[in-house]
Amino acid sequence: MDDSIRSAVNGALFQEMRLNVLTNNIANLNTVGFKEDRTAFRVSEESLTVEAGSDDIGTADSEAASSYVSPVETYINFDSGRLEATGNPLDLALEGDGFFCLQGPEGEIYTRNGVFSLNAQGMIVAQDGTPLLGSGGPISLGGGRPEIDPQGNILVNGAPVDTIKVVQFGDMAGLKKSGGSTFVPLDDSYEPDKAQQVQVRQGFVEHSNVDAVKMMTEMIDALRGYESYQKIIQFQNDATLKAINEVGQLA
Amino acid sequence: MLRTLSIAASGMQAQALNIDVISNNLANVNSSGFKKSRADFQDLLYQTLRPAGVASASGSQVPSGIQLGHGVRPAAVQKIFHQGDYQLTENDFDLAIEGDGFFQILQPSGDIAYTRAGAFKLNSDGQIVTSDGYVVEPEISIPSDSTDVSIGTDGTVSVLQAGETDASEIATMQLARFVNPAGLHSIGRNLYVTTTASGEAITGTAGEEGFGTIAQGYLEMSNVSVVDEMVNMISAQRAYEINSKAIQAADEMLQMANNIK
Repeated sequence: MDDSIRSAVNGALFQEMRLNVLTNNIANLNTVGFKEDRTAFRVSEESLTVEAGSDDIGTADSEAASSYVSPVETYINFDSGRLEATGNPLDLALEGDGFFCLQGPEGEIYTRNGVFSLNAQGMIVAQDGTPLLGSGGPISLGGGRPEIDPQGNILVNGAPVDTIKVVQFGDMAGLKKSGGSTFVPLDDSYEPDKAQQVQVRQGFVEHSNVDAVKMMTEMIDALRGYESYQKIIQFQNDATLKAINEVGQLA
Repeated sequence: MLRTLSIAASGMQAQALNIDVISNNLANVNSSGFKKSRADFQDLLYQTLRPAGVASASGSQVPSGIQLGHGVRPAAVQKIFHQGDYQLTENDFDLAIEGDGFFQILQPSGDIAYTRAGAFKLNSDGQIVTSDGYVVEPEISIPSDSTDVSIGTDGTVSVLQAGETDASEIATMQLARFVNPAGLHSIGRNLYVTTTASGEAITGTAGEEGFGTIAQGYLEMSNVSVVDEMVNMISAQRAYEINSKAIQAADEMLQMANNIK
């Protein structure tokens, strides 16, 4: 009896977390370079091992209680978003599984948000001012309109200036989000490789890869799933009530 | 649970800003020389509840962790300097720039502003001015006895004075361009001023390398495309709506939780 309530609470908590993640995707429907998060149901191994192996009910209960925390895991869907032509010379999009490198305060950070601008020193920077990296550090434009070819070479008035550094990760599951459509490796020592077959498209931006229809149906699913778990909890409550009040009642 | 409510609220605020920008574009669909704006958004910081790749109790690695986002924020509203369409007006002082470049305008404060709106007029002193009376820089005065004014594609201003048969060249218009025009700051009245993001103005003659040419008797229309803006508006409105659905879903879930007992 206790077990089914616990399972139902786990299920309800999962749906609650899932709604949080779905809502964040929805809030970023129009965020350039955004990659959607997906959720999976996962009960921690700790609670499972205790329940299976131990006959000490007291311990099992207290251990299992900690499994209420998060029966969920998230992972990033790195599918490409659609490209939109903007005609802006410093709007760049990547075709293929590559990333732009930005010079963050604590080392390189990676992004697919290619909306860039110039700062006072004439360097190409992201919207929050972090410099875009070229072949040897930040890229300075001497002035003049930059022409950027698919290989990332920047030409100003026909003369080559620098090449945009585009990288690729063999295992993209090794990346985590750090806000502002940027990603950092989970493990600091994880170095990316130079990108192969990734093309830079000047005058385009890559939109969010969130699909509104899918989000809407998943949201309904999460809501109704939550409702089912709530019914199970309620049913268990009623059953317990009956057991207490009616079983063994003297006529 | 409450997290969902604030995340969805940030989404609704972002889309409301998006609608504001789109409305301003649509309001200026007939403003000559107007350049449309675009709102850009960024996702907010993530809360890492459990990092991926940590070892679990049994020694195996957890393949993916838990990262929860906190919604969205507006990152920038930037101008898009697409070329607008040209309209033939046959007015001598209607000038359009074909290609890159801005006219330079002397503001009453003494600072230079830049514009693509070439609907100029003459003031009582014969100077070429904007509709607001601001003088075009460098200052060009048309002699009062001129019978015809022609402005060439390279910006040379020639006048035919009364009693003469040959036109005489009196001045040359100068254009300015920027490394990053998207970084210019709008001050209204179709005028822009420089910022650190736009870089300093590079001045030169029309038709030189990088500069556009001048077309007399034409006006550059707004570069707002009604169809594009309508599509963006639908997209923003529906995004707003789906965010409100997320709030409803969270509300319903809270209600269910309250109804358990």
